[in-house]
Amino acid sequence: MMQIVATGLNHRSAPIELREQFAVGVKDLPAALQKLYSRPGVQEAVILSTCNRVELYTVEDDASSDRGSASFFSDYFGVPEADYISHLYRLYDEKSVRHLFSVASSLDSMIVGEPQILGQVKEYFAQAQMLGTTGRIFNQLFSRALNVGKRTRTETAIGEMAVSVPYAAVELAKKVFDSLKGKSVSLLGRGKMSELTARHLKRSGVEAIYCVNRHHERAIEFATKIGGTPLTYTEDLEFLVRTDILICSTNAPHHLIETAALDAAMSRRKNRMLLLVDISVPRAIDPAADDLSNVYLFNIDHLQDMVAENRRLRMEEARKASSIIEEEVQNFLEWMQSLDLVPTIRAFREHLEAMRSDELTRWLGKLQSLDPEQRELVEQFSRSLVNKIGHMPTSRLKDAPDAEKAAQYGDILRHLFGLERMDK
Amino acid sequence: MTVALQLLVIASVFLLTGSFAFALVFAHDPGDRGAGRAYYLNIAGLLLTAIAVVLMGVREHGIPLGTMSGSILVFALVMLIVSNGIAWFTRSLLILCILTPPVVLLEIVSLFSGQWFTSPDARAMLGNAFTSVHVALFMFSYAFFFTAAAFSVLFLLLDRHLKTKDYPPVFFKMPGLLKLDKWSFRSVAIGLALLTAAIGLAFGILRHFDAASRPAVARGLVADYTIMSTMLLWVYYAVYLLARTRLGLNGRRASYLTIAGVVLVSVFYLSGKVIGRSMFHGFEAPAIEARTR
Repeated sequence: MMQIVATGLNHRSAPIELREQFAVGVKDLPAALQKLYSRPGVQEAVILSTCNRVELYTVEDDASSDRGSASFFSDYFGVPEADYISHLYRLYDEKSVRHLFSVASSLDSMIVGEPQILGQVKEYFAQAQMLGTTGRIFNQLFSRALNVGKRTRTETAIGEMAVSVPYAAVELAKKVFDSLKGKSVSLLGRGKMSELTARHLKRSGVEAIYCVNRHHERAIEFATKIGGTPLTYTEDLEFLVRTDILICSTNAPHHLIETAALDAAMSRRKNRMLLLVDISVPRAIDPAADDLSNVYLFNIDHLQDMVAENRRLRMEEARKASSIIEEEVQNFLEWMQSLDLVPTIRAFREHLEAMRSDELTRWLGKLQSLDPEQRELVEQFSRSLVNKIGHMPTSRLKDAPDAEKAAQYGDILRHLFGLERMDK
Repeated sequence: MTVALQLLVIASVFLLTGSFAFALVFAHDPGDRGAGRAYYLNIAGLLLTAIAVVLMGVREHGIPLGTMSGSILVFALVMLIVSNGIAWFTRSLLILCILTPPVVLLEIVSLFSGQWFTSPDARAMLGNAFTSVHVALFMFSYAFFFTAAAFSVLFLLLDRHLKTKDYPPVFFKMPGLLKLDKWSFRSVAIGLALLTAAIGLAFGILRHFDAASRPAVARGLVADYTIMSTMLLWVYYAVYLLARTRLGLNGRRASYLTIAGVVLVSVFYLSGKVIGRSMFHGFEAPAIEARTR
């Protein structure tokens, strides 16, 4: 009997030192897929290899044996089974489908809600399709997995809230300015976090990055490194006139930006909105600056609180995503069930049609006096009768409560109507 | 006819209340299905209100502005058209959250005011097409001022969340501060343009009555409460826009002034009904004619 199997290691089951031994890059994927696909019993195959997981998805006709995907890791990568077997997981049928849908929805990712995994699943599936290692089952399964991934992102907020400090700063910037196009950001100091935040802001559409420092040479050095424009820090905060977002990351022992100077600078800026992100310890910006109108000040604690709250909200959204996944798993299993019944239903209908045709030929031969119109009516009558007879068994078969019952009904139907003889 | 009108307005009230409830719940939820229901229910309420206004108009042989019920219902319809248009354009369910309750309140007031059909004298005055357009322009301008105030309310809410570092689920659904500020400004600008057009049209109407050659009429017009309060309103919003464009007025202060503007609109409009002793102005055309003969 065909089974869908998921075999692999991920960030939860295996450390990076083990996972990296099984990584399959895009260049090596065709060879690895062909090797997997050519193993005995494997009917369809897809490999998924990302920084957090290496997984083999297969349709096998004897998954319990050691010939299929179970021993692929040791055979292909040459790693002794004892080294990885305790870290390996192997899921069958419904569990493997649920696992794939969870992976595509980023519920199984290190950061729940991360957006890259959906694209990665799509890419690896596309490669497998191109190489011809997928068939009807995986074409349907992976298409549904990609839809589930999109659905969970659309119908829940699982990917919406920032879960790192730099992204939280970007999110806040968007809350203040909505669009960051045409906006400018100034970096006061040279911290790694502020550099990362500035890069994220640049990717979000910020037009200009200014690197501000007391010492002009250091400003030039930093600006050259990150592709910004150097500016010199002055006590009157003149650099703020052309800035919309200021990120502070210094180790100055005192406030570099006092409220009074900031108030004066805001007047020169015609009171345009200003976002201040102070990730320095000790703080470089006077906390009282937050009281100024159109000034929004956030320090490292505020950002980390936001990230912690967002992580909690994402876990709540993950629960909503799980119910979407359950719904889609059941839909897929129903489709699988109907797939198993298609040959039986087709054979049953062909058998009824053959009987109808034989009997009609025999009896029309005895009714020579019928005109063409009457013959047509008799033909229609026979079709209608056969359709009505065939309708109830077919419906009952499709409406079977589970796959096991459906298989039983199918067997009974085949036996009662002698459909096994026809197969032979 | 009156019972049918009342039933239409009651049904509209229920639909709009349902729309508000959906908008409130799904402003938090990113799912599209509930948000769609909020919009559709609001449109359904708009259609029922429009049908009620049309029925009244058929009876009145023109736009039904001659009574409290009629004019309030017409204003509610204008508010619905503007709020749905803005909500569609900005994709902001939160606008419906703020503007739908006042519309529901207006429709309930129109139900209870009980005056459905106009007197013949008022009908004669309103028979002029210019007069109808003049009044309609005022209504649209006020609707835009209310919409501007709605954006300002959202601005102040978001500003407060950012200042207090508090992030409820609706925080993530709100547009940015700058966008809210911009939409508020634009709504006031459109409202002022419509108000200017309405006032400009009034000069044409006055010419129709040949007011300049009739000193008694001219004196009556200058002393008219509605005209004076409208001119004050025009000056208020003109100064507001000037301050916004030239003096760097924006953010929280601008939001407070936008909301204050709409309070002024409400006070002037409602008090005009008492002080002016009329739905619109303190004078009536036949009375002017009698005084000037």
